[in-house]
Amino acid sequence: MIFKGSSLFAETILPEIPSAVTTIYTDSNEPRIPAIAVACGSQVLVYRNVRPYFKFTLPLLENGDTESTSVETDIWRQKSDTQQLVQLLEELSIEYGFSRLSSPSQKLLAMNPEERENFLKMFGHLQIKKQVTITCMTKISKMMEGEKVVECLIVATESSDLFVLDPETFSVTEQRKIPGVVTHMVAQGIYIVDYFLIFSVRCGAVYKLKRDEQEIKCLTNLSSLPIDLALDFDRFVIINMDSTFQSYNLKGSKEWSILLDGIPTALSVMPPYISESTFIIACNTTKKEIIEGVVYIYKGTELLHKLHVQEPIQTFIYGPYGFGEQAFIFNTTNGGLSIKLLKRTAQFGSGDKCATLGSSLQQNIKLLIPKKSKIFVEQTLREREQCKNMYAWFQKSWQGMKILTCESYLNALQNSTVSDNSGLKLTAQILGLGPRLKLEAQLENICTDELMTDVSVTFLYDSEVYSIENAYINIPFVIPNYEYKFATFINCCLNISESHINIIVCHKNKVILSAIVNMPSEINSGNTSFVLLTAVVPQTQ
Amino acid sequence: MDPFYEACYLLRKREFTRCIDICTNLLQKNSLDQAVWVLKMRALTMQVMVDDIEAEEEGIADIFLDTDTIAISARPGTSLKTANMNTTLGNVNHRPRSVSGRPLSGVVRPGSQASSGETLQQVLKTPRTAQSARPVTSKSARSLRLGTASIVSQLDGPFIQISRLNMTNYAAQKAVSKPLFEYIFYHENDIRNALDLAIEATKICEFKDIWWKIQLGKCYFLLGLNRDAEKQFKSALKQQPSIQLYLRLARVYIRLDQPITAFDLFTDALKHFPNEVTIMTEMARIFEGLNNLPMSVKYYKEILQEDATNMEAIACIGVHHFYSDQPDIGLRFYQRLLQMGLYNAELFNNLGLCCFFAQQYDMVMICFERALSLAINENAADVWYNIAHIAIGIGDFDIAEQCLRLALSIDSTHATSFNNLGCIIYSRGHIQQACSYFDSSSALAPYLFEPYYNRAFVSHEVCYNSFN
Repeated sequence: MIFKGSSLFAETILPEIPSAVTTIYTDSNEPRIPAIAVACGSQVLVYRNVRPYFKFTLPLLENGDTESTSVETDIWRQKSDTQQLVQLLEELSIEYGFSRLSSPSQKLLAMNPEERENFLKMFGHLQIKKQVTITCMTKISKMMEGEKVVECLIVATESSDLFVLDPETFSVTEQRKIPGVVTHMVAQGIYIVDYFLIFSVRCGAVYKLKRDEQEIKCLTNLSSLPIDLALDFDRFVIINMDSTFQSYNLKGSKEWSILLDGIPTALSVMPPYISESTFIIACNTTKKEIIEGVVYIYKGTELLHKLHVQEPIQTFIYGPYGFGEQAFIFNTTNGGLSIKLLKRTAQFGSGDKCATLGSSLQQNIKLLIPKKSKIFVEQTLREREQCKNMYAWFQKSWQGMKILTCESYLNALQNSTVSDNSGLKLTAQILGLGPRLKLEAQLENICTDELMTDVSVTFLYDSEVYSIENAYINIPFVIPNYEYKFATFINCCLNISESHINIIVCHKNKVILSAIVNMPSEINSGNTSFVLLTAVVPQTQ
Repeated sequence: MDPFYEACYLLRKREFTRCIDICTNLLQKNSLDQAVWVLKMRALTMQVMVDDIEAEEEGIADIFLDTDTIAISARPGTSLKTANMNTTLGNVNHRPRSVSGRPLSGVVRPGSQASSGETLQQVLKTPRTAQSARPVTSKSARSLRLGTASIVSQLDGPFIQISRLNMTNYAAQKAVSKPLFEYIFYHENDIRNALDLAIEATKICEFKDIWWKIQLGKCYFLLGLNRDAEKQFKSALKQQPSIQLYLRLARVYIRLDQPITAFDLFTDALKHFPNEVTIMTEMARIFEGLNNLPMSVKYYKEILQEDATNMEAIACIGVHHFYSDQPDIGLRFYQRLLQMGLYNAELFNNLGLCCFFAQQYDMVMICFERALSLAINENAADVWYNIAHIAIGIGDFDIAEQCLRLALSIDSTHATSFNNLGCIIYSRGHIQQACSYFDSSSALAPYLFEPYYNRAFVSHEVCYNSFN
């Protein structure tokens, strides 16, 4: 539909759902009247004077996917019954991936089983071609700089291809493979001289493509998926789904990032002759459960102006309209269209600076990393020079340590200081000041499936030093995941410096676990001695 | 040779038993010979005398039955008891806690085990083992050790019947009173009678003798009469400043939980005795107690300028560097300790850890093997724990688990081992068991934040997975 003023001017029916639309100057004839290019499916339709002018059809896929396509064609040609076809296609989609199938196959697999029969009847006779679908389109001036010059179209497709179309010769002048499916794309420069293209792909990465450079450089990986992308002289700005508005230079390093109040929907940049690095962002904010649209005008990170629109904004464009040099045309979610003109003498003045965000809170935390010391450098040097020796020796000594550990563990198993099925846990504490102490122990069966019976607890101790009141404790059942607490009093008859009591857990006649409890000693030495460094306890992340 | 001269000579040679024997013989011949009597007292005292400036450990009873508390909730940075655990001075937060919950110090010294601001119940619950024990009262700590010594020498009844002494009489005899006081104080450890003697003696010399003032202060301090002790020490300090006096007075302030006053006193002391190592050591300790580790290290570094072989300073700075992500420098300090002839499990353990974190991998295991062979009792648990830590670092979880279980078999109250074991068990998918380990870890050491975090993490994961 084309509107002139507020009335409908013309209406043209498109063959498919359009994915992009732009105006383009196709030739150098006077007067300069632009054409309208609409990307639909695999075609770019160009209209002039409200009439179809010509159409590009993107070439069919040739390389890469031929194998899957030929197999698919065979399947369709054989065309037994519906069920078999669906089954074969499903296998194919598992093998090659759903996205590589042709659109009829995709449609067939995605639709309800009862509708499939009908679909095949209608379209079964058609030849299977794998068509490309355009996802994104932009334009670039072809020969020279300036306004109203002949322009080229750049289109990106679902199959990760990029085409440059020349409207003068009605042909594809360049085709390139790109690393992803493009969602947003901006171009700058002159096609035959030098140009670059910045585009974001579906996974949230931003790439830069340059003429004469085979390599496509990945500039940055965004923290969140992009909503809109715009170019501003020597930087590009992005609004993201995490409500951030970020600016990057053309090398891909982040300049700043600010948090927007609401969910952004569209972004536009004022031309530099009006105001430098001024950005217009449409946001939808929820206020008292009513969603309303707000247009923010930023100069760098400074918020210059706020414009309220009653309805939530779907998208907007900014540019000259009629006699107004600057106009905003909004498309609201409920289908409304509104146009706002900006006064030619509009002065915004300077606004408040927004707090710029770090990329995330975690990254804002400053780590206390000490400076590299001279010793560190020396040690690294040694490490570099003798890496082989060090590694070999470490491996050897680690093997030795492993043996030592295993031996000690075996020893401990034989002494039952560790339980063999690792299903019992025993912890003990000594309470009290002495000489009468209370021993409190907890026994827990941490095996989830095993029930233990006939467990008894007794103690090994020096009978000259201690007397234990309840030296034999019987626990008939040890139910899993329940902590059994038992306690007994210990009388200390003699003061000796160091001693311990062994708690023994018996199962029938076998010792299954024992633990050493170090008893408090009354004597405390006044000498200084060294303590152990214990390394920092690791945490699961 | 004259037996008395011989006894004197033996005393000077510090052969106390022979000296005592000769004295006993002489006293049997003439029991009224005061010179021999005093000599025997000196010998007996010197046999058991210890440097008691540093040997004080505040007992549990002294802390909780103490009526000198000035403020129940002191302002942060002004009290040793409320030394804020969460101050973000340097990397303090990452320093692990000792058994009583304080950040680890480089050395174990009397008082470094003291816990901060916990309840009586917690104190009684903390595993009081040979390493971490705190005496019930400060008096018993000393009396027990000294008591054992006196049993040996007193087979035929006590040397002096203190209860029968006429204090006023002996206090008047200047030659006898001082050795007698030392004998009662150090050998008999009868503080009350020693105090009586000291009071009489100081009256006789008209409150002018500095020596008696110090002894009075010592007695008051031991009896817990801190303010009286402060008065005595202060008046002695006015008369004649000395390092010992400053240390004793500061100790009173620390007992009163006034670290800032103690610190001011030491700054004053440094004016009289510039660059005095013992005073600077005390200052460093106060800062460590206040959890201000950068300042503490600053003083320890100054100490090293004066005395390059000060073990406490080297160890403390080493620990500081280790926990502030400079294991390479920490390694140098521990190497220095090794050069100085120290040879124990703790040192090798620390060397091993430093080597590991400074990526000098070839030395790591040798150090730990040596540490294991030198370790006794609970130390071994810590060494196994650290080996497990390295095994985790390498990625060998089986060995790590075995090491942790060994650590727990040696010390069943090793809370950090429980936590790490829980982590390993969780990585194997045994959620219930892991939770149980985290629980016991947090029950054993309520000051550790890791088991709580891990428990929460596991609970969250379980919940999250069950929803999806």
